Amino acid sequence: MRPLLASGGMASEFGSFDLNREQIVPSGGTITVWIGPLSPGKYKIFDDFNPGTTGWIEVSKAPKDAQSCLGH
Amino acid sequence: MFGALIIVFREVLEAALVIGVVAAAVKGLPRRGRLVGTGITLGVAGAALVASGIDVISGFAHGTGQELFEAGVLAVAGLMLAWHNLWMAEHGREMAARLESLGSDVTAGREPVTMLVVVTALAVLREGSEVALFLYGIAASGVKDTSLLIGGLLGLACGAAVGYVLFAGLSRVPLKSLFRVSNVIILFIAAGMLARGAQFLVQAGYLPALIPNVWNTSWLVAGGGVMGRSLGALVGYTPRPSLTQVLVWGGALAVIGVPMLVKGRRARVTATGAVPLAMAALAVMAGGLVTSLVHAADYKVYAPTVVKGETELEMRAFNSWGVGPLSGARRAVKFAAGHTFTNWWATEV
Repeated sequence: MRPLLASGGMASEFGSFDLNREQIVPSGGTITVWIGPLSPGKYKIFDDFNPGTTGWIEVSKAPKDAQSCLGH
Repeated sequence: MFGALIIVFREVLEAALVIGVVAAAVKGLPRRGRLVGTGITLGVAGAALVASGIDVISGFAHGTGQELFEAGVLAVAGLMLAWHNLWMAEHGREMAARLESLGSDVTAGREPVTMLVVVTALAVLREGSEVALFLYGIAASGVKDTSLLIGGLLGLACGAAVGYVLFAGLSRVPLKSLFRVSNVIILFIAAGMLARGAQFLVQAGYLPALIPNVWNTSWLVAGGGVMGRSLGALVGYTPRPSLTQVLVWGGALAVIGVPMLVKGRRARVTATGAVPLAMAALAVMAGGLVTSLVHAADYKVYAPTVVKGETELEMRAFNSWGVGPLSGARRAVKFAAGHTFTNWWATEV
């Protein structure tokens, strides 16, 4: 749903066991990850190539209101 | 360094486990080591190619190229293993008998050779491309941190070592039961590969998830840990599978496993006994599918009853929202008129 950008000249692998997704982000490229409609809750996401990079996708009532935050 | 070690180890582990099992499963094949080497070389070459062309692959088919690629690799490897198992069900006993009487120098035919090389190559290709991207990223980022590269190489060595331990352990299983043990493991690996391949098609929106997360066992075995990854490689474990994934897994187990039981005379299931077994398995599958459709709630269930002389006027409408590139938000309304002329014939316009 939301494009992701891998910066810093390194490829990443977007992953989430909660969402059952894994997809490589080429270095400097963007990918689109199709998710949802999700039931409300928090879904953990991470970069498989960078253990420090994790985040949550939080779904409040409607799937439209999905918010994601990614931190180090 | 430790981080890099873990990352590479996890990726290599999955491939190593698969290779360990298939290499042990073709005991008695001449020049087994060289064939595994050929498979690994082909896989590494392919992985480098995939890693360098990841931009192209990613952009292919409206950005779903990666999923199609993963699904394709998993499907080919899974079908190859399924084929091997069915072949072994037919020839495994004579192979074991010949091995026992002649020692290990037996020509087993072409089939296991193809399987061994192709499955090894595909396992290396799939996980290797990720390792290559990761290590290339480190090298290209200009970080003068050789410890990262060393960590990566150590991770590779550790993963390979685990695969070898599995291979060595299986090889110690007495010949009489080795093929039975390895065939059961391969059955689960194949079902797991096909199910995960299906999940990639779900991810790309080519297949419906039916239910996105049927259950959640991440509290029991986390998907990212060594245990989770090993189970992922060996039985296709993911902590929150979609229903499509579960159904493909069960279906593959039934479709590959039942003929194995029928053909493996040791299992003492006669053909007549196996037919109800297969039918029961299919019935469970069909039941699962029907319940899932009911579960999915936005599907209409048509009762297969036809009553003579019934006239029907119907309006159906559906509303779908985007779960993939092929099914954006759509809305459609359909009218239908029908009449049943006999107790078994219904028409509809």
